[in-house]
Amino acid sequence: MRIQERIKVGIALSLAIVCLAGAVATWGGGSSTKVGIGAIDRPPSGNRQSDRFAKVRLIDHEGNEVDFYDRFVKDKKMAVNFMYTVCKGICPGMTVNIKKAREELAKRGVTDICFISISIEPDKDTPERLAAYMDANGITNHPGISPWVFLTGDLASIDRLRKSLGVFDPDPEIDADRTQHGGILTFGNDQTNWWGATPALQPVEGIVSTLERLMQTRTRNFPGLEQDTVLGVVSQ
Amino acid sequence: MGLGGRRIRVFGERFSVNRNGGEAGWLRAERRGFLSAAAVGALTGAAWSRYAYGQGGEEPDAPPTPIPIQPFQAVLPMPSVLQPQVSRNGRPPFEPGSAFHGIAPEFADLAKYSVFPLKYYSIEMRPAVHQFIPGVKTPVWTYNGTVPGPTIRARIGEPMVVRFRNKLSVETSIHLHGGHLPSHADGFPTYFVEPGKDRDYFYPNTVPMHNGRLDYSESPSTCWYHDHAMDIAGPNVYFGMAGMYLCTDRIEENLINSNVLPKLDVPLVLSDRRFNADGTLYYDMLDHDGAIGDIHLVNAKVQPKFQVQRRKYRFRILNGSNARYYDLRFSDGREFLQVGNDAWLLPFAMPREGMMLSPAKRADIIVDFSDAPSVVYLNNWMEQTSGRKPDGVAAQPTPLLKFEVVGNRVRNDATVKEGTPLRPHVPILESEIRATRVFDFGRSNGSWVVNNELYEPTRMDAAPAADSAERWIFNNNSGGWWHPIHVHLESHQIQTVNGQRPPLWESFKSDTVNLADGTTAEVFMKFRTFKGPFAFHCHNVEHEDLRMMKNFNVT
Repeated sequence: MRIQERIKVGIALSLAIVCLAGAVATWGGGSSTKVGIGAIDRPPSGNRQSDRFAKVRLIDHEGNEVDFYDRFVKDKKMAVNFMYTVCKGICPGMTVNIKKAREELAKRGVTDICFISISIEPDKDTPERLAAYMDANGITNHPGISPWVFLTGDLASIDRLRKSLGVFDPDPEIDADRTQHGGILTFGNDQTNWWGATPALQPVEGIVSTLERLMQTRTRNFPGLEQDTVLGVVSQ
Repeated sequence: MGLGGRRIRVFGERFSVNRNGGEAGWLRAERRGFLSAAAVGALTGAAWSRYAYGQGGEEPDAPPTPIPIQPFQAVLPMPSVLQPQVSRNGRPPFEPGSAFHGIAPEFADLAKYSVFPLKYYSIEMRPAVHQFIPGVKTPVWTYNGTVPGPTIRARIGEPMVVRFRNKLSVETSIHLHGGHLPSHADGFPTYFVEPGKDRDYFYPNTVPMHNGRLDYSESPSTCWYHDHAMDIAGPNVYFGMAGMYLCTDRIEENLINSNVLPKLDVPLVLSDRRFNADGTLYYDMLDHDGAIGDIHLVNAKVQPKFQVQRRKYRFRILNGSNARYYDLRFSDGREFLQVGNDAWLLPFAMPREGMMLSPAKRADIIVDFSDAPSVVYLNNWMEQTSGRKPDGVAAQPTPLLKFEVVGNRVRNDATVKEGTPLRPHVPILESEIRATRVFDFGRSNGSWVVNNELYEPTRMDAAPAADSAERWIFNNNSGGWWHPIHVHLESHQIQTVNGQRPPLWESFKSDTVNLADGTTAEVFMKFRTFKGPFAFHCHNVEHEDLRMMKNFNVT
């Protein structure tokens, strides 16, 4: 290798290290830097998905009023599904699958995804009833496993939130029919701005691998990064 | 001119070609504002109205792109052609199979596919900046830094290995759409190229066998490659990961060298995108109906212009949008010749005045500009505001591409005309069918399902016997959505759509069949050369991501 080439490689390498350090700093810092145009972890799309979420206040299974966005979304990782406690259709299966996925993720050292189940029959699903549902399904919150929160509230707020999360049917009749309600787990990492949805009734391993991959819970090695920031600039 | 009302024989097959209302009425579909026969059924059967999306207005519509657009300023870009890597001192540029994810086991049979030396290529998947809109810098994910990716030019009998290196933060998997190739190189959803890793994609560029001989009727022409990774093919393709793969063989080369098909061969990748005010792409990761953009691109440039001579051009049109349907016509109503449907040349050139392209569909067309006015537009007449399905015929067309026609008529132009034979066709006969399988594409509890089952990458849903032919019946009973169904590995021959013969240009080989609302399509397929697993799925890419997919394994 000729000297000039060596120098070029050296410069490129140090640039790469600086860029990588920058990317790690941006990601690890958890700051609310502009999404989509920062670290390489992020998709290149510039709109922050969570900006579309309805800003609602709901009530958790302990009876506390919570601001959904501040508590569960902002700069956090979460996975949410919609259910109701007396559902005899898909809800029991969803709950079992999410429970197993949450336990499997904990075994793999992933404890920072907040699981959220929101009632679509909130007039009947009181906080007490949600807490009893958790007991009956053996769902507990303790260190060493991702938290799981059950939410109720007023139906209009829940409907607004549900639709803004993309869990709805365009046919109002089907959308209003609880037996046909969404069986998907909607998840996202607000720091990387990567969101998605996956069927909650698929085999648990599918849920686990999708969450692991797309919420970037694994440490990854990105050799060869050439750029850490790419600005979307209008220069017309 | 025309074949009005005659019956013609092409390669021993009889076809009814009636320009004034044929058996299946395919002809009336040619009138302006109409779609394929499948769509005509849907049009008459369903009232076209904007469905009540998010009743109560809670679900916000996607914001319109706030950047002003000046159409027809940019020149139509030509994707660069990928160049092979050369051997140095007699040693190959890289050792096939030494990539982290290895190479297809079929590579061991390389000698079976060709006597020509292997060609080596390398593609890096990496972030880059692209100007869809002149002056607006947009971060994208690319193959080798460009959108569309570099065009791969291949030839039957000349195998190649493409080393795809992933410099992105997500898994990728590259599907060669229209290719006949090993499962390892087919972009199976979970056959990932992991971030920071590489995989050697072995493209044998071969054709299947028929009665003990190579079946050159199956030589593909217009393929494309794009991302197919589990859960995230939608965003990955939207962010820029798609390119053309143009294959040729001796039959097609003879047509070009004998001046039947024009040498001027221009890929036109149609797609749509939405942008934020800062120039970044707008993408809603939770819109499971499919991404619909409000900015129209050709070869990843907003409504460009293209200078053409007064002669025939060959355009390889690809619908590269995730969910948008196109109904394409020229502004002066000019007729053109369709010479290819999806990956394959048709048996003979056939006249068209317009055509509907569902997502992932390709049309290989010849346009003669010799008598054209000085300006001609390629127009899209299809209105579509949601990924669910098109809204119908637009009141006003959207011009996608402006042709500026210059100079005098060129002499000795390509000779292709209506009825010119192009490539033999070997029809799959009813008597060859060994099994019938039915697949219902539907919706269940907010997820996409096929036969009421969610997709599982490790489950085989069909195991056709090698070298056998089967009848597959696709039903769309999802209640309001349209689904373009794409089957990997082999072409399929559409027999009927809602009990009717399909339009003529879809009567031969296809790799994607559109299912309008309530549509049933019956196709014949053969399963040859390679074992699976292979996928078949809805090519509205967001539907595919939410598991509207199934696997088959050739056994």
